[in-house]
Amino acid sequence: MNAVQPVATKSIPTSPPPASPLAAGASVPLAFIGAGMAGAVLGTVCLVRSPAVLALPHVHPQVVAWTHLWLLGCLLTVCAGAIYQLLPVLANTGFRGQRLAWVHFAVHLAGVAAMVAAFEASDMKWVGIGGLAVSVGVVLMAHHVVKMLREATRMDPVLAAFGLATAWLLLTVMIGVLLAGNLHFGWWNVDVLAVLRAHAHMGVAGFFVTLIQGAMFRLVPMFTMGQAGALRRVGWAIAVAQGALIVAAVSLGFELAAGRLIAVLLFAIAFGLTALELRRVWRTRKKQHAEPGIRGFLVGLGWFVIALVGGGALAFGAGDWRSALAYGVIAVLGGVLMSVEGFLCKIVPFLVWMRVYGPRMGRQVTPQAATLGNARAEAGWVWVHASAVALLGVGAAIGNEALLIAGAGAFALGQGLLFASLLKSASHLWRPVEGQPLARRIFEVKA
Amino acid sequence: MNNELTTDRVWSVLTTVLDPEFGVNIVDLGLIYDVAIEGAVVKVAMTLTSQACPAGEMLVGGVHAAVNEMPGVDDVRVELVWEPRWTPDMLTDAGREQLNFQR
Repeated sequence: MNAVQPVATKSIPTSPPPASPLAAGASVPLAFIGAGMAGAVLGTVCLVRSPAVLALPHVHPQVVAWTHLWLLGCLLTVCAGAIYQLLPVLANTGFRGQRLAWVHFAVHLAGVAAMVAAFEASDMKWVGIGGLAVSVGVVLMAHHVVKMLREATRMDPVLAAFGLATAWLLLTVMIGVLLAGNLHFGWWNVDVLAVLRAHAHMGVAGFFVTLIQGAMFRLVPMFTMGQAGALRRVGWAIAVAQGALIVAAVSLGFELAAGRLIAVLLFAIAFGLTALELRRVWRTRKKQHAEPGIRGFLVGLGWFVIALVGGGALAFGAGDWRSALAYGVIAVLGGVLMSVEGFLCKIVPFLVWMRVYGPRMGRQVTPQAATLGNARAEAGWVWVHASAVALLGVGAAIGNEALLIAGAGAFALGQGLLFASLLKSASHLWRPVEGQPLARRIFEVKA
Repeated sequence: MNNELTTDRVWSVLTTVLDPEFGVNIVDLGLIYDVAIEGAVVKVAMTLTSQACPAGEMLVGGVHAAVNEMPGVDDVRVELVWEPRWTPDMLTDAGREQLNFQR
């Protein structure tokens, strides 16, 4: 046995040491995740109040405003929190620079609020100002990511995916700000719709899909006690997806039909490689029962496959603007949202547990992280949300208001179930369970 | 009550430290490699399921706190070791049963 790292002696401090992987005692990631879920509440309220917006063309200001509310207000906010939590653990660097992370939090929320309101009002000047604030936040996060990757003890494809996702995000927000500036000042004569398509794909596929693709090979084994994916095969899957993204961005931006077909083919290969490796990981799991969060994540991956088929059809010239909107609904509310919220069912209780019960470990009886939330509510969320996405996708594709109303209702119910469980987990922050002291108990039992 | 400090008692106390994710105690998870007592000093050699275990710091702290509470203990030294690397084969039968995992 090779002892490598003495980590604790009698004088061990009760508070985390400076290089703790917990970002500011988990308060930074929890704040981002909480704000992101507030964005999801707002997005759900908007959808329930006006489901018919999903029957409007995808370039309609309200559709664009909602898209940015979901993608930046909810999903990017949640993912930024997850990056601040996961990357220091995966890179084994610890988390430093909380102050900059809080600055990121403030400018991000202010920027998103300004952007969404300005999109609704079609005010490109304020869209640009809000976009600049969001960009400043993304640059601050990128600074953290680069720093942690440089300090990482070893680089692997999963860590590389975090860096690549951040690079795509930087590119997406820069193009977004330039687009808003161009619409306001009229600098260049470009095909705005083509650049918008490239911008959307770089954001949704470049950032979110790359992040999800990399993180799943650490999170799924972590939560199911399975073996991590083979780094070489994971690396190939990520590399092919990156090739697809580059081809997609160029061919969408410059309207190259052949390029779009090549991108779809490359995406299909990348999805296939990812699915094969994930299946290998899944088969090695020791925790046989798949919890609702993991099931929700897997259903989210299924929506990505459907979105890829839809994207392929659009690339072949099939469908109209309604089909494009349905494609967006399925990719964002089905693929990205469901995958991210599935992981949240695991990450939020774990973060709350680490903050509240971690320091009590070995001293008191502490509850299991998985018991902090409500598994039945989460199980309900999986199927209700999946049904809602199906209804909304079909409703958007055929422009059927009744289906959109039913889908919005189901969507709200699903989000309500998820929030109920996440709130139950979060309630331990201010109302922890007081456990019996451990050592005393064991000696009482023995006596 | 007999408060004699023995390795058996230390192992028993370590069964009270549960992995937060799986709810299985760290002894049945196979994370504890060795326990030694030298006078009033307890030495525990343990590992984690992976070097990127997000609860690693808490588990080590939990081991320290639990053993430190034992009567007759003046000092606790926890060593985190990576050889041999933890594998699921290190789960005890009780651990496998809790995870519903068959060999």
